[in-house]
Amino acid sequence: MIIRIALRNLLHDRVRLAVTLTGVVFAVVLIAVQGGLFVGFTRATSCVIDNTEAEVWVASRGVRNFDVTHPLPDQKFHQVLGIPGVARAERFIVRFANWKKPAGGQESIEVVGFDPASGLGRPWAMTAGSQSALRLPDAVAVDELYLGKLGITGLGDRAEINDRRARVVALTRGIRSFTTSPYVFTSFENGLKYAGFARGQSTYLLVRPVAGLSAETLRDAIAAGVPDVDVFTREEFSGKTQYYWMFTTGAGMALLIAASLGLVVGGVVVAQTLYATTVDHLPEFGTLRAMGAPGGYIHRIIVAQAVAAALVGYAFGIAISYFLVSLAERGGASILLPPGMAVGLFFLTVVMCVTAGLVSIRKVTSIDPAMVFRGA
Amino acid sequence: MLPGKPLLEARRVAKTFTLGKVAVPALRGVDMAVAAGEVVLLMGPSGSGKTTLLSILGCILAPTSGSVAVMGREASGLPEAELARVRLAHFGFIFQGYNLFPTLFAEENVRVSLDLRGVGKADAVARSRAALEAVGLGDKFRVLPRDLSGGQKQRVAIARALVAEPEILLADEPTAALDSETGKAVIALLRELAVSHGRCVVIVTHDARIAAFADRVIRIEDGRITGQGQEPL
Repeated sequence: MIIRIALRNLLHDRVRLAVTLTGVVFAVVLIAVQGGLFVGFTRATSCVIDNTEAEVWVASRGVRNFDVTHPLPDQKFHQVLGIPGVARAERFIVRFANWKKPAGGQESIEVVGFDPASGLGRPWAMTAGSQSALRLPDAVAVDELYLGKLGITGLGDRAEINDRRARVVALTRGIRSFTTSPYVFTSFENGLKYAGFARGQSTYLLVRPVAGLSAETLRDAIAAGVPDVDVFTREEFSGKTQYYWMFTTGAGMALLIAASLGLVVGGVVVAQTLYATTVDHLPEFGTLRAMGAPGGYIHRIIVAQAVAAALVGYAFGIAISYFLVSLAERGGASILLPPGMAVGLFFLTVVMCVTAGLVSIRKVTSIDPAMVFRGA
Repeated sequence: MLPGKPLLEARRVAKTFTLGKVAVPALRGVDMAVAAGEVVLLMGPSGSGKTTLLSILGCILAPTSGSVAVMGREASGLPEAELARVRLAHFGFIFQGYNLFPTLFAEENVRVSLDLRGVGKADAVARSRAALEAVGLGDKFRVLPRDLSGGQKQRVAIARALVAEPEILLADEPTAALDSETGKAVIALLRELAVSHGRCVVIVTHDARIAAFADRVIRIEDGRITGQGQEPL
């Protein structure tokens, strides 16, 4: 009966129900989109790190994120190779550069130079061309998402990077850059040229441990044996980069604040409409109290109303959110709504609505059951 | 003279309301008892304290002084949660404005009373329908209150009050919104259903025409019982 009474109360005033659901949907969509942007951006900041097979990263001292750091001298590469426990070390280049479009115009890009022979730091999700083609002089791989931005149409197109020739030999799908500069993958040799580095210089050293040795142990060994470098496990460097971009720049906080705003606004709307619904049905709640209904019985009716509003509002909200995510996939924005986040959002929605219902519970708790004899 | 052991008893009950800084006495030491099978009318002018007395007898309102015993057990001074349990266990209420749930069908309105007492759905549905049939609404199970006449609504309210078979029935102006004939029919029904099961019934009313259905009429004026007998006073 509790659920029946709750649903009938909600359905009694369709307009108010529509406002309640609008509030829930608004909150769900806003939180999902802002939260999805947060997750998408966060993952984008460290996607290259997360997709390499290198367990340990070596960078110049004081590095704060993946994208901006000083080059390492060749000497560091040889010092790392001399550390016991190193199975393999590869030089890796990350450098902002200028892309000159074939038809004129420029774009900022981020050159990623890796060793095609070892494959450490190679592009993933390749849809056309091959990794081996990147060994060729001037060969680069770009993501399909950025073809228009880079002024090209596909394989074989030519452009210039820092006034040096570049030819697209491979395409990837879904490798997004957090910065406005798309990643352009190329061989380490080409990368040296595009970055203007001296032979042997690199931005990072990607290191793999011998079998059985943990990344943490190797990290400590390199840090102890190689001076003036910072050494991280993959997860540490990924986390450091994510933290830098999302929190020290304020980008992440802006997204989280917007998501919180959705929670607050949605909660307030739901609280107001549930409260109004409760006030409308105050005589019935008073009657229940007069009849001897335990407080829990009445509270459960209100909670059931809140949960019902949460369930229906969430269903509409999450459907709209996934639609927006699918639209964003075709554009440049990176909105990710993983299943775990959708489940978390469901519980958040229920908590938001039930919390909003507490205002109404306060109201019914204060009903004087004697009101039923006053013709209320 | 009470026909049996009292189910409901008020001793020296007084109630004073405070309006701002002014103390307004509503009851000034009322003694009364109602026995099983007895139908008692509380009559008196508006503001005489009838409804206040009914609220106190029903353990809905606490007296300022004095005490109320329900089924021989002292109820005054119990916490609200315990009073709610007493109401649920022993009382059925009928209200002037019916107080039906506008969004529930007649059968569901009656069933609420059993749901509160934890009766399972199948049993509750069967008992609710039987109660509606007993008040002559066997064809109105799936009708909303808005589609019922005043008399039919009050019958649903009676079915709701009786379905859980409480020992004590309290009714506040149950005929106020009904025409004369319907009012008489409702009270006759109430008496038949209550007395035949050994319940006691206390009715607050202005309607002298229903006095014929009562065993006793108690006259209240200015917060005091000023007389009682078997005819309107």
